[in-house]
Amino acid sequence: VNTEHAGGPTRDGYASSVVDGCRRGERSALELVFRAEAPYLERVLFRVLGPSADLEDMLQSTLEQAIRAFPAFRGEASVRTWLTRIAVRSALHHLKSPALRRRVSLELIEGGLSAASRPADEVEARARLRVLYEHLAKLDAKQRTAFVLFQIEERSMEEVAALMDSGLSATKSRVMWARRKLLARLSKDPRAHGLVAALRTPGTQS
Amino acid sequence: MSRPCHEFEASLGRSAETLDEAQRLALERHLASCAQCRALHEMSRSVRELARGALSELSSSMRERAISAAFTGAAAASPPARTLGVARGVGLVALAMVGLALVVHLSTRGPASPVGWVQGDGRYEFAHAKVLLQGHGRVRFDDRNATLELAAGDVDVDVDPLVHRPFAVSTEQFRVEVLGTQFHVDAHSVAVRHGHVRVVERKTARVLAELLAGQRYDHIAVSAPNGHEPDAAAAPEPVTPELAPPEPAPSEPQRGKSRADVGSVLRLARAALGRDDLPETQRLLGQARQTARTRSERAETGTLFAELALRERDSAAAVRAYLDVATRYPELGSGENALFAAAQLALRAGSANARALLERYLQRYPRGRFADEARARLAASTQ
Repeated sequence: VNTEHAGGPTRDGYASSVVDGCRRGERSALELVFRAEAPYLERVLFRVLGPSADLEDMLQSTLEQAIRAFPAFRGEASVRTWLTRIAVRSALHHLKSPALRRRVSLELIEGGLSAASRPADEVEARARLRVLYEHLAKLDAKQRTAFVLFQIEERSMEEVAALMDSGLSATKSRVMWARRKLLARLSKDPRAHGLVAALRTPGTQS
Repeated sequence: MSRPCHEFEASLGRSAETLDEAQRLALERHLASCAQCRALHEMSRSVRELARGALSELSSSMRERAISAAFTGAAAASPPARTLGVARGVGLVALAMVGLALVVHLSTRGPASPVGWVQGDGRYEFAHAKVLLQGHGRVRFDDRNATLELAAGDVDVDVDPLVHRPFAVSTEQFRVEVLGTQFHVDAHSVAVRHGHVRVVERKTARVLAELLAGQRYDHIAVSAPNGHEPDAAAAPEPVTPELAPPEPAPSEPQRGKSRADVGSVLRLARAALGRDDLPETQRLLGQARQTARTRSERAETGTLFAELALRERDSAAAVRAYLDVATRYPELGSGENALFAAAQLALRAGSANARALLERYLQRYPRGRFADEARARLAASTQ
């Protein structure tokens, strides 16, 4: 139920005055929402795009589009879902841009793994992450995005379809093809042995 | 009989908590008998664990910079500015005279707040914009999209720069997005007096032109021959001066649309720097900073700011500007140049950071353009 117009908080907890402020383009309201949602949007962008040096630019682009689109925000979805849809659209656009595609920043990969992991594991994980994103970069942009949202972000097929403005069957098909292509690619890549060996270790199922 | 593989597509690789008990058991039974699905399931699961283990967050300063830049970008892609305009087309001079008389006459009237179609020349207020409707004009304002639809006549638009909201004027063929400007629109053309507008084709949302002050876009001239995209050199031409003279012309002619605009502003800035015209350089770089969209344009703008600081004999500011470029655009040639330039400046100033900067350069670009020089300087500094 959309409670915004009843004067109560929105479904993701924003006061209706904040959302109305965003619609009117008030900077303080927009900043409040952006500061709260930026870490989440970064995570989505990072997972879809990989360790790209453009993450800051992509976040900026997403927020810029949100500022322009907020006057038309109807409150049918939560603010977070609405912003995520903008982020996914920006990421897709970015992936389809040939000049920007397939660039993997090793610097960010090397700085991009959990600090909690042990150094030896970290080195191995970095190598596997690098290999993974090299292969993901070879997939069709929509297949890659659908796969990441479904498999890594663990969203439902319906959510993925809605975020990508696609039909459900097209989304299922994209995930299926991405999964098969990725397995085929990783299996042929000797550098992916760590990853593939881990896959084939018995008893690793969840 | 066992269920076919495709029925498990939505369960493969998912964590147990996202499946209900029946789905989980059915999947386990299927995986026990299907090697292909088992491989896909395990691969997907490992990919998820690996990718979810990676940190994605930007530093807080990078995040703040992105948020702040989003406002700057949105403002550049929408408001500032006040307006007046320039008429054009058939019977231009006569229309201009009438228009000018109308401006004088109507400026004494209070603003109206119309809803639905508005017909009749006059001065109106739509949201945060003041609009002068002329030439037997007919307009309608869509408040939700802050878009003024122009069905007949022409309009001068004055958008309040303090309201950070977009504003657009759409005609049957194209849409003009206000990027901070004073501009004039009729059914077939746009003329810009101050600032910056973007013209977008209505049907395809294709960007037809981005115009700076003194430039105009003529839809008929551009679309008539073979429907080609507007040519960067052909589209803009000086605004007709009958009603109001254009802004003072820049030192060299401004050309082109979108990217070409920023490129030409940067070229002008470099030329101004070359002749030691520092105020003009500063002004042009300010303009470039507002409109630069690509990483290379921003990197070039940052580099020129660093060079400007050098001309102003502010070495500390120059080092800061170079390091900013080096940090933000390490993959670009400008980023490499900037890091080495910062190291050289630090060396010249006898800074303790000079060695660290040279080492960082070599670490980042071991086969870079300045690698040999950096090694030589490092060796010299240890002697």
